[in-house]
Amino acid sequence: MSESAITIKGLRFSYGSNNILKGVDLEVPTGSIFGFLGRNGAGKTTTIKLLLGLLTPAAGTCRVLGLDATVDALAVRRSVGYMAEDQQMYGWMRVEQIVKWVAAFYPAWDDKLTSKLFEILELPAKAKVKTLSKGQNNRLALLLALGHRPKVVILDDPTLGLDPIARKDFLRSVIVLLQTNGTTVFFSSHLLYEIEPVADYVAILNDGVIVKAQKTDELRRSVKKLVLRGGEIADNADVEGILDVERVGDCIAVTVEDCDADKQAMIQKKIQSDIVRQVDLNLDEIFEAYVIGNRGKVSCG
Amino acid sequence: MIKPLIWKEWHEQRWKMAFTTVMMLFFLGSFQAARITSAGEAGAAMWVFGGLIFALYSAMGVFAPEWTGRTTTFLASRPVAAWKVFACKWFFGWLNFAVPMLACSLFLTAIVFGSEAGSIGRVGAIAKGTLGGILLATMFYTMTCCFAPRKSSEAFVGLVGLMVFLVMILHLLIAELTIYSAGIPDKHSVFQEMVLFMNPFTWVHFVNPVQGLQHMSILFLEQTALFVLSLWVGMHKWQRSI
Repeated sequence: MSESAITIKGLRFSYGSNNILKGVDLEVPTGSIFGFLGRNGAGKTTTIKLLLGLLTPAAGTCRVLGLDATVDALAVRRSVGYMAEDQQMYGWMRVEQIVKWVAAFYPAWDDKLTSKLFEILELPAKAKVKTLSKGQNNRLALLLALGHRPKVVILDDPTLGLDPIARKDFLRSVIVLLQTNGTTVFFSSHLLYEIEPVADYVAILNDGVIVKAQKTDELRRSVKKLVLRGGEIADNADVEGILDVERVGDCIAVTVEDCDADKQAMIQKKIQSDIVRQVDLNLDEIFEAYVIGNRGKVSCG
Repeated sequence: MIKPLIWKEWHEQRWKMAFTTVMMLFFLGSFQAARITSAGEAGAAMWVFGGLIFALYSAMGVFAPEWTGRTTTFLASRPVAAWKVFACKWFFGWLNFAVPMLACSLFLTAIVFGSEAGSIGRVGAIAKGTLGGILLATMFYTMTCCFAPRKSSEAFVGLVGLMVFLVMILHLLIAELTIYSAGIPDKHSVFQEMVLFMNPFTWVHFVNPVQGLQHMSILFLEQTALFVLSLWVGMHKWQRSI
């Protein structure tokens, strides 16, 4: 059995003349919770649609559970549970009707599991879908994604539009329902502080490519902010691994990845100052550094 | 996997079908009761105008609501082939005007049987007219559905339908003018007029008439080819509309 539930190689896609994906390479380990991060318009939803075979790539391949998403799109969709961003469903259907309707597409649909999910997710079976609150709508979408016991669950910004308490409840439901079964969860989100406690791995999509993909713990350990008192900001672009350099008062803050002793020494030499403090960063700050960091290319003075 | 699609489309389209049937029967019945027109004229008007208007109404309400309701991704992400989704939607949209037209046919047949002697011939004419009307409306409906932009609202589909209708009128005018210029007497049957309206290439055969069965076979082949082309274009647009 493949160690990767999802494998993406050299993926390219454009909407007309707008190049969205410019060669995405990614591997999602089986059984992991994988956070897929990127700014608005970075191409997260496009990548997910390519994984489901809803779009055809210009180049590259996507494989889900060993199946080619372009050639075996139906088989992929049968094996995957998918919750779209701000998923709109048929408002005229009742909750139990839409569950029955979706179940008809999946030979592996588990009615016992569905009944259990109804209770856990507290969904009103007789209510019409259009009368559900945002939170209930999202929980229904989650039920529809899980009812056929998929090995891979893809959630596209599942907490969009939910209030903080509803978001917490939703993520708790996801973890409780999926983690114990060894299901691979691939989800995109903008709310990095929520991904941080739950994701085993993260990948950052920026400018059409994956700029970083690593275990969350390792990423947090490897990316640090070094604060140096005084010194001169010069063009530090030739020091590998510098993500951002900025002046903060009379100090210079350098955000660097794979921060080891050698790199610290090199930076101190370049800036001609000593490191006074090393700061641990959260995922938000790490994401910012990778996406909008100046990579050390600053003008002097 | 097609059963859930059929169930959904039936539930979405059944009230529209009921509405159009009631409306068409109402107008037909009203014209008959008020003796505004003869049964034949009322039938012809109902088939052409009712068929075309309700075909347009149907085309507007089949694919576009998935886009405006933002349910396209939810539907497309089910493990079912896109062509099955397209076929189901097309078929139930077609029923929306074909069923009312058939109902009107039966109503007219009942009137004819109830009122006139020697009415078997009239029933035959009603049947031919119904078939021609449904074919005409089907072509118009299919081209409107298929040539509408991929991601468009109901109103925009309506505009596309009007343009398709104008193009069909233009073809008819070109055909008539060509035939007139060629000095061929205009003794076309209603059926031939409908065929001229539907198929932009038909006029070629009327100007240089090919005799007998061969003529009609070529015409039907061209009709079928155009129809299949419209469906193919539409299906590919639907597949790319995600």
